[in-house]
Amino acid sequence: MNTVTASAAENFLPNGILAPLAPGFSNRKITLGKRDILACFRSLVLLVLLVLLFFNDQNGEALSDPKAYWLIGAFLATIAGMFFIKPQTFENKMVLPGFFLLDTVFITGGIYLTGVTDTDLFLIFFITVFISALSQDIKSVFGVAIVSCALYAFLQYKTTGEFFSEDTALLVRFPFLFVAAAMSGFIAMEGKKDKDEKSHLQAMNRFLAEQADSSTSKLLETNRRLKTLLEYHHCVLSSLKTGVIVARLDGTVRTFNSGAREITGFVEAEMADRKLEDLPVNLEPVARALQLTLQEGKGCLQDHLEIKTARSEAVPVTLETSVLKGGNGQVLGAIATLKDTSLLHQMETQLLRAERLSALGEMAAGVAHEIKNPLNAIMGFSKRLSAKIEEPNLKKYADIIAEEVRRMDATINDVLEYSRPDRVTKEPADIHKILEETVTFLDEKLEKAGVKVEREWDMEVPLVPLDLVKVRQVVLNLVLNAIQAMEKGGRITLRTRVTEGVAPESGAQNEALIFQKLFLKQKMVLVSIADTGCGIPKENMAKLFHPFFTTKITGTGLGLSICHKIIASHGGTLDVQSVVGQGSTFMIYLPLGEE
Amino acid sequence: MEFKKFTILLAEDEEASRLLYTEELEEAGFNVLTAANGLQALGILEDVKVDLLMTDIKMPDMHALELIPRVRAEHPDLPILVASAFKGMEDDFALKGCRIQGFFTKPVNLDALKAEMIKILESRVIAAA
Repeated sequence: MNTVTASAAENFLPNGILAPLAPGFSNRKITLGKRDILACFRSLVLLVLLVLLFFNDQNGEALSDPKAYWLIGAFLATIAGMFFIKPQTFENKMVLPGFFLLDTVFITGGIYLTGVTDTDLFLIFFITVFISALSQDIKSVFGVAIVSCALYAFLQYKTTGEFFSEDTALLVRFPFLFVAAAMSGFIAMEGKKDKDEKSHLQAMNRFLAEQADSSTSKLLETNRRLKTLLEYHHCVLSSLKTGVIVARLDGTVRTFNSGAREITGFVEAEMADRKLEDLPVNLEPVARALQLTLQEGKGCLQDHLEIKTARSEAVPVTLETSVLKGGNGQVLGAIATLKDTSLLHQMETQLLRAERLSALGEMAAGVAHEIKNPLNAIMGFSKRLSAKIEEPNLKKYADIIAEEVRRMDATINDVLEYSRPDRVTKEPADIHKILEETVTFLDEKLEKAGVKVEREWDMEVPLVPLDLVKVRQVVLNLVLNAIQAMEKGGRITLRTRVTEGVAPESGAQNEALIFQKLFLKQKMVLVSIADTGCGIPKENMAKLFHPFFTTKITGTGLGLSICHKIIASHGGTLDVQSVVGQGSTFMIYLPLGEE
Repeated sequence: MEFKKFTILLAEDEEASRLLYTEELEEAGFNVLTAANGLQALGILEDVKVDLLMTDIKMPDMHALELIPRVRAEHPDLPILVASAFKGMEDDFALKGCRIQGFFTKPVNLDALKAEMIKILESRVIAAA
């Protein structure tokens, strides 16, 4: 608003002498140019001239003289003519004095028409001299004064026939005219000076105001950006899965992000501003690494590190520290990043196991083939022997050889079953029906073992594409295992439900599950078989699906690994959770396929 | 015996197994020819009229999946039986378009083998008549 008012005043008084005289105008919003002001004053002069012509007409002929009308008409014409000239033209220094000189000529003409020089008409010259101050140029004011004097003297000469009459009053008038010129010129100059100063001040004010405005908005903008940046940094820090711990130069904790909280279990509020040496003992490796970085000015990397969480659980981590530097390179502190590598660790182990299994499978297949060829001959010839020998004892030996070969063959077939790529023929099947059939089939065994069966079935589970024979084999195997785990009886709970991807509570015991957990959100049916048996010791969990791993007196140790393979060949996964003394839960995940 | 006229070609790289099959089948009244590898088998098939081929899968010079199509090119109707230490390879033959009449897993049940051979050959005699 300030700027608008200032510019309006500027327009109103372009270089106006009136500026210091009439400061009140500056608040109006009317814009008057130099031309308009000049036209007003000249009209005033014309009016005064008319009045004087009327009242001072000693001859009484002035107004009847057509010359008077010509004079007034010409004056009016010059006033009106001004409006045909562009306003900018009036900015020219020579234009305004030109009009003032023209006016003095008109005034002289008017006085001449009255026929009397010795009247108050002379005062009109003063008006012109004053008005000429509008030009704000002392030279033009004096020019007007000189011309007025000259014209008046000429008028004097015309009426009296001599330049200097005996009337001394007349002689006084000339100096007065110059005094008036000097005064109005001085006022005009002062006005101009004031005006210049004022406009300079105004410009200065405006400049300062603009500067202040832009500085303020810049400051606000910077402030806003800074706030956004801070929020952004905060979000980045708190969204990071990686733990970030920053220490100041004085060895106190500056930052302890939520990633660090999730990994270590310690809370930010309790860690912030603590001295590194006062951090909980479980975080000692981190504190030590930060201290070392602060002392030596260089970072370090510790792979395969294990730290204890607030709940004393061991977590494998990668710890990396680096020096925290400011924008101009000055050291501000040290920064430590903490990455939970347990999943990675697990995956590595699983991958290794999978590789080992696959190599084992290949080897088993190769060995089985090499053994089966000689077995073919041994079995065939021993049977031929048995057929040809009459002596009963020898016949029995031959039969024993054949029978032992048959046993060897059975074992080899198990190994081959495990190592051979499984082919499954999937057809939509009712998973509940499979479970029910298994329970019915094992009814006698369940009763004998004192095991009750509970069903927690989600009846919304649709038909699942699966190989009926093979999945039935898996379910049977798992339920049998459950019965065997409960020597003193117990309870088997069979649950079904549809899940999207792998259940979050899954311990992710194998690579396919970890992959599911990490990347896929596939619709799957979860069939879980939970027992209240002895549970599986932690050291056995990792080996559970290994071929030939068994804790039973009888058994090849291939049962679970074959189950695992069958489910895997369905694109599903088999997982287990177990607590020693409480029981185990086997979870079969079967994909529902695209609907 | 009536079976005398049936000639069986055995393609088997294991000498012991070859001897076993030969003795057993000859005793059963078949005329038995043997080949220790795929090429030998193809050579015999060129020279002699054979009624049935029994082949191993893995032989030093070629796999049964290679041998069978070559045999089929010349003898499209020859009954072929496969005996192998690899279990469950029947599907592979079907998948690869290899038409075979029977699959036996080692150790081969010799009685079952003989019964199958007789069944196949008899049915051909009946069909021919």
